Amino acid sequence: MMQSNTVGARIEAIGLYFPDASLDNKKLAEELGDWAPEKILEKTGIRERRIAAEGQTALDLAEHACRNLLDKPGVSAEEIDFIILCTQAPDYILPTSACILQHALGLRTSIGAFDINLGCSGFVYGLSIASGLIASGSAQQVLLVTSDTYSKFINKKDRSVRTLFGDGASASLIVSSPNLQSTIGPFVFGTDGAGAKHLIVPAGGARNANSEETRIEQVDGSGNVRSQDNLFMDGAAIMAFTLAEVPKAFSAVLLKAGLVIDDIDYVVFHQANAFMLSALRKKMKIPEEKMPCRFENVGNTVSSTIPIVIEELMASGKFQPGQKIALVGFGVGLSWSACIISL
Amino acid sequence: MSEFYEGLAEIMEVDVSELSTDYEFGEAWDSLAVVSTIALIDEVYDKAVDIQLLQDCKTVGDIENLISKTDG
Amino acid sequence: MPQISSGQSVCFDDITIAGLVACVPPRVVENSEFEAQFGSGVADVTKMTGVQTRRWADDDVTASDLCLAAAHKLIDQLGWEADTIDALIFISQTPDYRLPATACVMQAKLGLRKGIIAFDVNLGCSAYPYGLWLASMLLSSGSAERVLLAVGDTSSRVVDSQDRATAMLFGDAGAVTALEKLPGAGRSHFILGSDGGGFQNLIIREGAFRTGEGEGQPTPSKLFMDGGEIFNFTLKAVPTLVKDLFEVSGFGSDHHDAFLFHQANTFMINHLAKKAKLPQEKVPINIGRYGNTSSATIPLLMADDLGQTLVDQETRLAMFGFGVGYSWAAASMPTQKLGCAEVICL
Repeated sequence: MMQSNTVGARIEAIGLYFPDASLDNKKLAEELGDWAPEKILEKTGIRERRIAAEGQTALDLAEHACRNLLDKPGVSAEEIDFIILCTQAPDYILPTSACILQHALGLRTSIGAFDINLGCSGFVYGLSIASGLIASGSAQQVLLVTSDTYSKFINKKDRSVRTLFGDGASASLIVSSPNLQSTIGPFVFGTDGAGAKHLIVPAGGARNANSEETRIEQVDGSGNVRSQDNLFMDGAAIMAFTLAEVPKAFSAVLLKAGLVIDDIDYVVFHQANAFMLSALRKKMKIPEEKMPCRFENVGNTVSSTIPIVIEELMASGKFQPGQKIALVGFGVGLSWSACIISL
Repeated sequence: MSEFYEGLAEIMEVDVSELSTDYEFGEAWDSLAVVSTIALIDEVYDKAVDIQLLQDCKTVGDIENLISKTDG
Repeated sequence: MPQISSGQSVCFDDITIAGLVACVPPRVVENSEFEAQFGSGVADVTKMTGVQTRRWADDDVTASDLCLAAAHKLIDQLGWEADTIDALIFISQTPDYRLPATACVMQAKLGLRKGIIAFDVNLGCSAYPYGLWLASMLLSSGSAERVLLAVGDTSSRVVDSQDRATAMLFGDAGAVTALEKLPGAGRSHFILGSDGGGFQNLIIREGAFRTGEGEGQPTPSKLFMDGGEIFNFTLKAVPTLVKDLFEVSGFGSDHHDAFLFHQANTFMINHLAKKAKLPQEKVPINIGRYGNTSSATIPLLMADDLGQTLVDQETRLAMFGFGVGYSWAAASMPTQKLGCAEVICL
């Protein structure tokens, strides 16, 4: 009950889940026609994406990821006292999917649960809320879940996004840290709604409900087909935004933490695609070995990309106590966030 | 200009010797090429050009003009 | 942390509500407008719910539009510089888009600076106390010095016009609350809980990503409410929630100036108040005029029924939000004299 800001938080374990179906470049090349498989790989760095089955939702992926987490040693469902679910593809308009997840996992009813709607910046936002929950004494063990199924938004004839996005989920257990030192944070955030139109599903919300009209498909100047019910991405605008804001956010979080780049062992960016990551790496002059990547076989999984990389670092023993990782999420919103974590 | 030309040649998938200020992109100036060029300009000149104007560029010279008009 | 059965409890010090503005659409919908359709059913439903009139938004108005109007007025009345606001939380089940988050869109429309925290949360009846808790956490953790909490829904657009139980119950509204740190403001207590076991009882089955469940139902893309189940849940959950809030806060019935229940229906609120032995005069009810405005009911009560009181006096308020999810939240919060507490019309 004591209010205290001295309780630190850390990532205890991460569980992942990817749907079974694979969409590889060969299949994409056959469907899209004008790009060879090698060219898709060269441009995106992605070999295959995992795609949710018909009828399989982000909540289903989330539940699998949570079960994979709960199977890990030292993780107990009874101890979990909060759920944050970050998704842009909930099961229902209402109720909130996090409540359904609470019940599906058999967690106690005396816990808080809610969804947040964020994309590529969602995991870092979620970490901030989770560590706030722990610091404020609202919770001791937070289940932070990210899950999305962008494939369901994407028009099959829109190569500009179909080549990039995959479906997937992550479940992270955030616990109070025994040493009072917080190992998550500091954080910096940013929002620029003026760029909301650059990455958007124009119809389906209250502003523009789905209708016959919004289902009408149109061909754009590059030959991509989409309707207002589909995901639209202005790749050029997103690239320009990323190059302008991400380096600033990175510098800001280093400054806030009192660190310099040499103090950072790894920089984990939102895994947008090879092309954007290499542009960032060159611009920010980050050595390749400090920039772990993991998207080649899963694509851009939106809010799950960062925990997917951290999970591999943890599993392979590359992330050791005392090491520091900078996380930077950026994209749809436009929204971005950065933080420093250590084990 | 050579670093920029080399990058642009890579993006347009042509030999650098083919590029000149009059070089016309034609159909190949697609969204991916534009995105790539944004990154290239950022890398070489540390400038953020107007995306709409970049999309409207037809020749290498158009891009060079745009870059020189853009503040760093 | 004492173990209480109704949820997670937490407290924060030195957080204050600087002001709030609620915004309703201009169109007043009278019960008489339903008579042609439901006949004598109108009187039956009205007896239970107590809703006489409700405000419905035009088709091109969204919850964020209502909240933006409220936010503009609030920022203006408080004299807050736009660049002193650090976070914007938007809680709604009728957001503008599937993606991006509506809070991001609002950041630009309000002219807030680019460095702010902005995100959406999807909650309904429990939204306001949840949101106050979330805002308090941002303030308390040092993530923000000033927070705008926007809650709102345009439920009129998702109700089933053929179903008299819901068609006449809901109204549209948005509300924005400004919170900041204030040393000496006193201690706020919160309790939060969830039970997805009841998710089927208040739901829109079709329209998002779980498909096929609405087959055989008359209008699966509209709001379905099992009134009996919701009533049972409420009767079971809320009295315990009231008791637990008194226990964790140490402030009982006498120490609170008002008990603000989510305006679900008049009969239910009266019943809950009686069961918890709360004095009737401290339990304001305005569902008669506005209907059930989902996430906005509690701030609409504050801005409307308590508006003048909150501007003139210091108070301690108890709030109880419960419903869709199931999800519930309670708050016991001290208020200083608010800079602004009013209802505007869009």
